[in-house]
Formats: sequence, structure tokens, C-alpha cells
Amino acid sequence: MRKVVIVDYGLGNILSVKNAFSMFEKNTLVSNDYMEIKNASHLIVPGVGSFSEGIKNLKKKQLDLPIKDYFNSEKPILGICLGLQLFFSSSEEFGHHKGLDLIKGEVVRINKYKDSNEKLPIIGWKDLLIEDCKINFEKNIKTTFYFDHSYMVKPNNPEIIKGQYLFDEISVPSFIINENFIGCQFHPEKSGKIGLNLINQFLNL
Amino acid sequence: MGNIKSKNYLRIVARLDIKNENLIKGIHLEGLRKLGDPNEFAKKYYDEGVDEIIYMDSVASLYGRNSLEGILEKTVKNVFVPITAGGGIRSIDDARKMFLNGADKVAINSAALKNPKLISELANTFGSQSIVISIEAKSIGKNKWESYIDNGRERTGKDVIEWLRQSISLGAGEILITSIDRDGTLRGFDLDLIENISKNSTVPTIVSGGMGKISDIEKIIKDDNINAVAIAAFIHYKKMQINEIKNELNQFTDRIRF
Repeated sequence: MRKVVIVDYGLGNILSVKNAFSMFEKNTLVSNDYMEIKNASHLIVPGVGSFSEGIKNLKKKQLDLPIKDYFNSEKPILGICLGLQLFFSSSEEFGHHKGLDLIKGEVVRINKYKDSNEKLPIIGWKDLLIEDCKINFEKNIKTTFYFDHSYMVKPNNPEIIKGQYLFDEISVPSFIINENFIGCQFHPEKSGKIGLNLINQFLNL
Repeated sequence: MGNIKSKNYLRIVARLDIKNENLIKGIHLEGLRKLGDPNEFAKKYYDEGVDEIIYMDSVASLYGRNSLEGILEKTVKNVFVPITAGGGIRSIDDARKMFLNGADKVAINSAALKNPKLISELANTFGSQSIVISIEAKSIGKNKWESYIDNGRERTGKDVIEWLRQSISLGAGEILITSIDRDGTLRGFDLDLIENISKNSTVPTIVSGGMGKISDIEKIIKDDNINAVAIAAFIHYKKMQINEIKNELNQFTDRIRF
């Protein structure tokens, strides 16, 4: 039986995430309890806010260890936005901060060219071309998701990047698959039907 | 790995002004008329393919209270696009309540004009990307606009462009610019205002006030610096549905999301 657990570390749009997952699985709960996290069939780490606050809260609530244990199991785990970034080695948002270091790489600020028409923060819908992977979108179909961020992940191993978009000429890694871990820089819970489809597929892993 | 340049989507935003628990719509932000249950309208717009929802409590800053929490909580049960909540947010705690009830962004006007430091405090706590500065602009001469507060009731003497620049430097992540002169009139956007905002805004920008026919959007869609249009009376009075608007726009631009 599926048991979906959304990690509550005091940051983020937990209500929207819970509602989106509850559309497909009634047995969805929000928790910061070690045993609940350990026994989940699908774990979600959501997040909106700054990296340093996120890591500080995870440690204060002693959630870093259960998340690491879960990451090292073979069960599916999803990181959304800040919840993706926290899995990386470090971030340069407001100083230098260590992350969970479960995926090697950094979180860096996105910079725009001087005469660029692009806007920061990045708020809005972006097209991603998603590579063949264990999440099935129609083959090579253009997929459009909602983003709201100023920082991006830079994995040491580029092969885990399964979807990206261009900002000026910078590729922004947006969809990550690292074995049982799936990471979205965008918000599937805010991306209409295409986002709900991703959530449903994740739950079927 | 394939890489594509994303389209520069123009977000089509449904703006729902709220008084007590009701969707209302006035003219020039005044003379408010009750239209119904905001949750039903929001769900309908979501089903029709809207890109985003804005809830604006029209009397909150005047009465010092806010009735959006209950509405937000219901809306996020079945609406899966971003939601901005504004009206009467005066502190970090007020903003936190909105986020806890399902808002993705908060919009601030009166409290920020009275205490500009609030913008930095909110941006430092929640991140710039979730702080929208709402500017209510009233024309006071050729290419000159004054910022108003309390839903278009009180003047502040503050020049709109100057306030725009200041709020961005304090950490505003997005700008919602409303023309009080055009609000609710269906007479089209204030194009001079939009041009001036477009030249000066370095953050994502939503324009609001006056949308009354497709050609009104056609006029501003060529400006890549405008990122979203907010529509209110035009959809609330069922002149057209969101999907019809998007289909029409799609005939002369590639900036529409489906």
C-alpha cells in the first residue's frame, strides 16, 4: 500500500503540495516524524524560501538524518524547488552554506547579461525538453512548467540532468533524476494538468 | 541533451477583488458590486486554462482586517496554478498567514508605502520571488502618475516611477501595476503608463486595469518586458472565457501557454 509523506520543516507551500498529491493518493500526510518518514513509500521534500533557512530548519528538527537514510534506500523521493537544492553539497545564497551533500554539486545564483530582456527573479512558465527517462511524458513533447526562483543547481555529473531551459545563454538544470531521487526546480503542484501528470507518474514508481 | 529556448510566455492572470467573502468588481476601484463566490470563479478560470490567480482584498487595508485566508484554503484544494494574495498585509506575520493558507506570493501596497523597509524584511524572510509590490497609479498629467493606497482611495504624493524603482531596489520580486483610471472601465489599458513601467521595471511585471477586448492585449503583447496581464471585469462579466481569450491571442503571438 502506498503511503506518501511530505516532509514538514516549516518552509514552503505545504498545503498546495499536500492537495496535489491527495488528488491521486488519499493516504498522503504531512510529517516531521522519523518513523513516518522511514515507513513512507514515497517521500516529498517541498520548499520555498532561502537555502540557509531550509538547512537550518531541517537540522533543528533533526530531519537531515531520516532524509539521508531514505535517500539511500531504493524508494522514490521527490525534491521540489528549494527541496531539490537542499540535496546538493553547498549553496552560495546569502553566504556559503553546506547542504545535505547527497548529490555532488553546488547551488549558484543565476546572472543575466547586461542588456538582457530576461527578468530576475524568474517567475513564470518555461518550456522544458525532457529526455527519455522513467517519467513518461509523450516522447519529446514540449512540457511547460511554472518556475519561481533566482538560484539553480549545478550537478558535478551532468548526466543526471534530464530537463533544462535557456536563460540568456545559460542552461538552467530543471529536472534531475539520480537513481531513486527526482528533483524539480519548477513547481509541479502549480503547473496545472502537466504538473499533476508528473505527480501521478512519480506516485506510480 | 536537448536544449530549447523557452517562449517568453505572457501570463494570463485572473484578478479577483474580494470584499468580505464575495467576489466584487467596481469601476476605478470603487462602487463595488457583488458577483458571487470567488472559489467558484477561480475554479472555472483554472479549468479554462488560466496561468495564475490574484486575490485582492479591496477593503482590508481600510478596515485593518483580511478575509482571504478561508478563501485561499478552499481554492488550493482544486486550483493548481500560482495564487497571489494581497490587501491589508502589514507585517511578516500577516504574510506568513497567507502562505500557510496556500498563497504562493503576497502583494503589498499601502503598508509598503507607509513603511518601505517592510519590503526588505519580507524579501529577506520569504525570498524576493514571493513578494509582489502592487502599485495603484492615477494619472496626474502627461506621462505622470501618482501612487495611491487603500484601494485607490488615498493619495500619497509619491511618483509612480520613482516608487517602482525604489521598491525594486528594496527587494520587490514582481510588480503589479493597476491603472485606477482604467480599472473596471473595459476601455483598454493605459498604454503610456505601461510603456513607462516597461522601460523602468527590471523584475517581472503584471499590468492591470482596463482590459475590454482582445485588441487591448494585442497592443502590449509585442513588449517583451511585460510578463503578465491581469483581467477582471472582462472575464467576471463573461464577455469571454479564458480559453477563448487564449485561442484568439494565439492567432497573432507565440506568447500564449496551453
